Amino acid sequence: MSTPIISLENVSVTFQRGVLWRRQRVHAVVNVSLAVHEGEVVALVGESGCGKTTLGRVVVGLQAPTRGRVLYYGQDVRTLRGEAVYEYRRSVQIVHQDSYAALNPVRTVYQSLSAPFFRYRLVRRRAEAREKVAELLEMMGLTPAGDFIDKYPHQLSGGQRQRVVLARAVALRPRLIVADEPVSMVDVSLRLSILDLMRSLNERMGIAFLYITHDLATARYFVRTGRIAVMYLGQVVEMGNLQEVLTWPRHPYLQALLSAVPVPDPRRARHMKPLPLRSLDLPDPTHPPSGCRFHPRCPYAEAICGAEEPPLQTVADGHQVACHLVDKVPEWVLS
Amino acid sequence: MKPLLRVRDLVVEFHLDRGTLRAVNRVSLDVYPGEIMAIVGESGSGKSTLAFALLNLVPPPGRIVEGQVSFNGTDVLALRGDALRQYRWREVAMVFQAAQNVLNPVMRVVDHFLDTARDHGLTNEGEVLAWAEELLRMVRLEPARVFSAYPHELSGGMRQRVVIALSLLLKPRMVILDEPTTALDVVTQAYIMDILNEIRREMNLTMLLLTHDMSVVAKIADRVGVMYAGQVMEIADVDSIFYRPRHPYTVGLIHAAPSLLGDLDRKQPIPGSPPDLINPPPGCPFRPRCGYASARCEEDPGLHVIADGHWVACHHWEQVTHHAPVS
Repeated sequence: MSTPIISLENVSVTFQRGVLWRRQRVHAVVNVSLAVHEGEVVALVGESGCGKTTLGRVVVGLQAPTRGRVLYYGQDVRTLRGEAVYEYRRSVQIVHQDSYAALNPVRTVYQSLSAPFFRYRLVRRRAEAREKVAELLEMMGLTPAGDFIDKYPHQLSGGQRQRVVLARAVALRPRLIVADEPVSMVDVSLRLSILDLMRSLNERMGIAFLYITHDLATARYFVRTGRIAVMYLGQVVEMGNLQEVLTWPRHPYLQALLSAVPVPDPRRARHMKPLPLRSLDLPDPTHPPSGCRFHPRCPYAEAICGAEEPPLQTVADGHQVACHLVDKVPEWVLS
Repeated sequence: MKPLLRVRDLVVEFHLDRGTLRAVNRVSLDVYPGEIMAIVGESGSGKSTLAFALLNLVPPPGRIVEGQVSFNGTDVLALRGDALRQYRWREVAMVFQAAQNVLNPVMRVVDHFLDTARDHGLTNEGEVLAWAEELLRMVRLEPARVFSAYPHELSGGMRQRVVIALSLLLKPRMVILDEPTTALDVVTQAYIMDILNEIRREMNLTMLLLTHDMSVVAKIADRVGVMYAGQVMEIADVDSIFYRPRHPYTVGLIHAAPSLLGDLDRKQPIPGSPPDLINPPPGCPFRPRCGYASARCEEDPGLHVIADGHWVACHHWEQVTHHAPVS
């Protein structure tokens, strides 16, 4: 396989909250190792509060890990100096969920998109910058560019705004874009068009994507033959090729999650039965369960599950699962 | 069967500085006793405004301009004062969008139940509490634990279930649920949908569910109304909507809904974007995005019956197939 652009080595992030004499620690990310290679598309999937957004922020350097290392082409990002810092920041971009909040409301599309060109001294004159921005807009499907370049964010639809945000991330020809729920606030009829755009950026420009989402169906649509990592309460519980992982999930949590995802097909929906969990609600993240963090909800849990943390173990080519009982858990196939 | 709720030619307008926005445009629909009817539409389709109008609760500067809403034979839009208060919550309860956040943060859960009951003239506290306990059990919450809790001590899914229980306190005949599961985790969402279905059967309740999610519709609805730009595009039973859709927008929505199963190559977005409701295009509002559009579509097609219980607002419904043409 090609060189990893980013690899996370045993990364943990702990937040402290509360006042001095009643400090609470929230373990948002616990001991996660994950690599994204050149040109690769990876989905990072989990429910709200599982730590997926924090992990995305670690990848782009917006959040320092409490423990563990972040490597950019093999080099610890904390040891990068001078030009190398610029190179890392330029090459690893992030797109957030709320396109309205991501754009300055009193700046036009041109002003927002030309800023990175000037910042990295890629253009000198205004005319040159306008040309670059127009080119970028056309690439994002905002055609003709003249209709969009002098607009303010509020004059654009949600889908168009998200294209502008993507354009800004693409402006400096990054190697990797971390896309954190980029379509969850976009109209349903347009979601696939944003995902299609991201796929074409991957195919045409070779930009790798880390697609962070709670929505397994859009992950399947976007990632296709790429990889998926599934998080639960700060940890990666299952990882591998997306098609294999979604078809033959091995971790009881992922099985339960997949069995609960509604499908847009009434006949199938009537027959789908969510797998029963021992408890519906997530435990308190300040006091995570001992051992396997899923064991209090897991229908198969045994004594070992509460006692020891299960390591990620390989069950098939590139398919890893963190479950003590992986050989005992009944097979569950998505159908 | 006689409809419980009957809406005819309902128009709701918002007078804004920029012009008049018609959020609900000549909507007609019936909801029958005991059914779950889903209204599916994207943001800006008018489904939430429609729900407010059904309770005669449109916030200013919005105004119901014309049309009729009758509930069990009563003209809702003519109700005033106490009669209107009784209609809201006693006859028709509403669970608002992001309902997890509607609970008063400084009130314990039990006081929400007692307050609501008192406000609607139920003074027998013991009876109210007994019924509230039963409702909480119905939504799989433990009354002993939840009653004394403040809202922030509960998870989002638990709060949502409290609000659903609260909406049923006065034994309404119908509940309107606006995006009841949108902010929730998948596992909780599936669970709440099962609970809603169960409650509907046990209490013989009628439900009107507003959502943008075709997968939620497929899971829970008996009948479906598809809204776009303030208008009803198609109404039919859920199987007809998914397997024999006759409006190009319905077909587009089905193809635009990602799924864990099935052929990915058949999935595609709807081209273009929704119209500006202040200056809508004349005729069919979907025309600029529609692969079937012709000159005729500049005339309003109007909602008409094409089969028993199947209504469509499209001139070209006979040509529409399940495979969306690319425009």
